[in-house]
Amino acid sequence: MSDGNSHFSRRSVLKKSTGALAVVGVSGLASADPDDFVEVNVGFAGDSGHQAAHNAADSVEREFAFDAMTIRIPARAAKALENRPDVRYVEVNGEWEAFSQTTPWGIDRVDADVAHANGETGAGADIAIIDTGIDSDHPDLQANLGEGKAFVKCRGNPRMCRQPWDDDNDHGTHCAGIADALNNDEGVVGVSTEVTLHAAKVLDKNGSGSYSDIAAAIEWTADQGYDVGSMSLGGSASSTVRDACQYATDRGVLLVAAAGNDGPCTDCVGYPAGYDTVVAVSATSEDDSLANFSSTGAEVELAAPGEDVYSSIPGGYDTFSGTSMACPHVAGAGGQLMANGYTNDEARQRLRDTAEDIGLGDNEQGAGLLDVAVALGLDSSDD
Amino acid sequence: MPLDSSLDVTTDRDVQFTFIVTNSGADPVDLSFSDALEADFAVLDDGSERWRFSEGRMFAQMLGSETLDPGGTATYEATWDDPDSGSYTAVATLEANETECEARAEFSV
Repeated sequence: MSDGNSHFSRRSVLKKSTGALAVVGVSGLASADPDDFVEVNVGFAGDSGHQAAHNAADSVEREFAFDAMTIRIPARAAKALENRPDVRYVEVNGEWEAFSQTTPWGIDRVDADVAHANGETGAGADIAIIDTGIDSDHPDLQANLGEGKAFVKCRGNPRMCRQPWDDDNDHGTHCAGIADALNNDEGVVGVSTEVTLHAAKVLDKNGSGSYSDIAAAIEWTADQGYDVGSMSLGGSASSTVRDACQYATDRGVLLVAAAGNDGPCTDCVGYPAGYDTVVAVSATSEDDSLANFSSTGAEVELAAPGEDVYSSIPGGYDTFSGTSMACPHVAGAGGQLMANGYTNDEARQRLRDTAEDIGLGDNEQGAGLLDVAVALGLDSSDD
Repeated sequence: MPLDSSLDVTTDRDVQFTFIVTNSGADPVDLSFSDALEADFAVLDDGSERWRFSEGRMFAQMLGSETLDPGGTATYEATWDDPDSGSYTAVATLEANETECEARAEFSV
């Protein structure tokens, strides 16, 4: 399905969905795409094999009284299980569906898929999406949604505004899906997959918000004890927003923001990304070039995929571009690290130390392109 | 670019601005935006700025686009919540890339 270079337009996804049922033989694992989910019967030997199968499983369908279980698992992980000495066999469970979850190119490029295959979900961490809200009813997000708070009103029909913090724009739901869409059999998958998402609705249905509301949402993120604040927004400098960022950083929040879309330009990073308490994220294209719209400057700390990014919107999926899309890639990675016990400062340093040099200027890529797998100490040899 | 525009101002307890951009040409016009600020509004008092919509606000950093067919329109709105009484000039500016489009209107509070 995903070969590392392709991303999927809506059309190709729809086409794939209509032909999703595939029947395969005994060699089914070999013919499955590494990102496809498969249902397999695993025979194990001893507790370590049992535990390994459990850890690798997306869901457990059946546990037998004898040493075997039926699980749903990405094909990549099934192959890894098959190679373990404490696993006796991995067999495809009869007919299986090639489920139709798409791995967006950005998820593949930052090797978040490698993290998923190794059981890294970000479970236990909390990310505030400080944005236009999050669709409270999206099947690819709902299970990850925690509390939300509306600093501006959701303006739409009751079907759209079920919660005060529901998304009346699309932008916040798109960013939420990039950071943390579920790893399931539909739609997309996020950088993290089981972080708890909290919608701080500060941008109105036209996508703008006041300094005061944004500062209040940053304060709320800190007071709630959340780990990460993801800010796909920007503008001119604001003393109140700067103070709020300091307040949150002092209380352990990792703040991430979009560098801005004023490119091509130099020394033009917007705010809050420009504050030293905030990780400023520039945007790349699928060929690792700097996206032409991306702002650049000394404040840029990391680069992440930002052009033609496919993710969730209320009621479906769509492809958007912007440093707004780059920002939640880093936020999801921050959530993964903080779920593993990193503090905000440690996570920030770790993301810098493990970023991949893609040959852009320092003002364009900062420390480099986000590498989720290496940040988590995993081998990302598929690059 | 063959764009016509108009600016309506409605004064109540607040001041509401409605900026309508019309494609007056024979071909479709593509508008592209760098972020969620698609039109800005300013209030001038004898040439000095009293209020600006974008002042004190931040914007979603996502590209936007819109195609206006011949005769097609796009409408942008903003509200000045706490106006002081006086006579003013309102200026609306389309913030699309590589496009100049502006409309003015006089009003009093």
